[in-house]
Amino acid sequence: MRRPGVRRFGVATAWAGLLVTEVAIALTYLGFGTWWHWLLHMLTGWGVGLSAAALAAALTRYRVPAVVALLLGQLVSIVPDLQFRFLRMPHEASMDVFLGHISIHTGPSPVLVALGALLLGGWAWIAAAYDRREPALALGVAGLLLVVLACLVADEIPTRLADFPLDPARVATGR
Amino acid sequence: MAPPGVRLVLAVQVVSAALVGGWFATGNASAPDDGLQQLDLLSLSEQVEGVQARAGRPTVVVVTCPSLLPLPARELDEAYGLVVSTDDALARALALPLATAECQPGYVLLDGGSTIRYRTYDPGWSRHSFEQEVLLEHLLDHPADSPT
Repeated sequence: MRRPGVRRFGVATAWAGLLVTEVAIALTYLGFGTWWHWLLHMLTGWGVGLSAAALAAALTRYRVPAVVALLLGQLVSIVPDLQFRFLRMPHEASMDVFLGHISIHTGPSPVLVALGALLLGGWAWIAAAYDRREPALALGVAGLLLVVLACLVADEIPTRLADFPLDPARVATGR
Repeated sequence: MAPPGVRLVLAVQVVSAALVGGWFATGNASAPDDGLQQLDLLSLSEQVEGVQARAGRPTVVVVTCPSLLPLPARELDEAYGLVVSTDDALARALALPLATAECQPGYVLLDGGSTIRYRTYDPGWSRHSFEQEVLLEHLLDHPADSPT
């Protein structure tokens, strides 16, 4: 039989490893000068993962632990970035299947949409954890719909230089 | 007592909201360059008069402002061309007006046939050679078929 102290140490080590991994991922995005992309894809991934888990709990009573929902959502959301980093694959429009990985950039207020998806997904998951099935269902659907709608109304990716904004007053850059 | 996981979810939400707040508090836009900054998607196929690839190799054409010169040491692989300009007219022709007007550097990528395939602002362009090389490598293998 395992002693409680050993188990606690194992759990603490796992959490520390997870935290270090998350910090390393964030630093990688920072190193590429793409912190904005980190904000978009992490928050969207976490939000969608939690929303999906909340829907599963509300509809089937199958509970997905929060950490699993967060990590699965995050993983799906950053598949194109992993392909870029490790397989040297440029992004393509078809990569929208990974939680709107392309369109989310040119949709309305991308950072706020990503935060909204996380807030809705998180509240949905919490409602499900307290066995509040209807709020969990409503919030979970809202979280997913927010991302889908943002992608549906997103601007097209320019295919000509003339499609980019030329008025300096209209262009805002990020760090 | 809260069910397991609730505190984690709340913590992730609070930290994320703080990071988003920090993003806006430091003067950043919700969608830098209309969301197109460093998208890493080769969507263009167009030629601009006077913009030529170096020796038929995929090339980076950087547009910046004189106050950011001299450039830091080159990190880009020698297999690819690198051209740097501070010309205001070229900045506008390449849809990078802020590069010279407000010292926000950007670049376009050309394939070996001088077709522009990608354009982005990137204030840290000189440190992002990995990103550029992934795209240039693709241009080496997949030049544009019929530039407009």
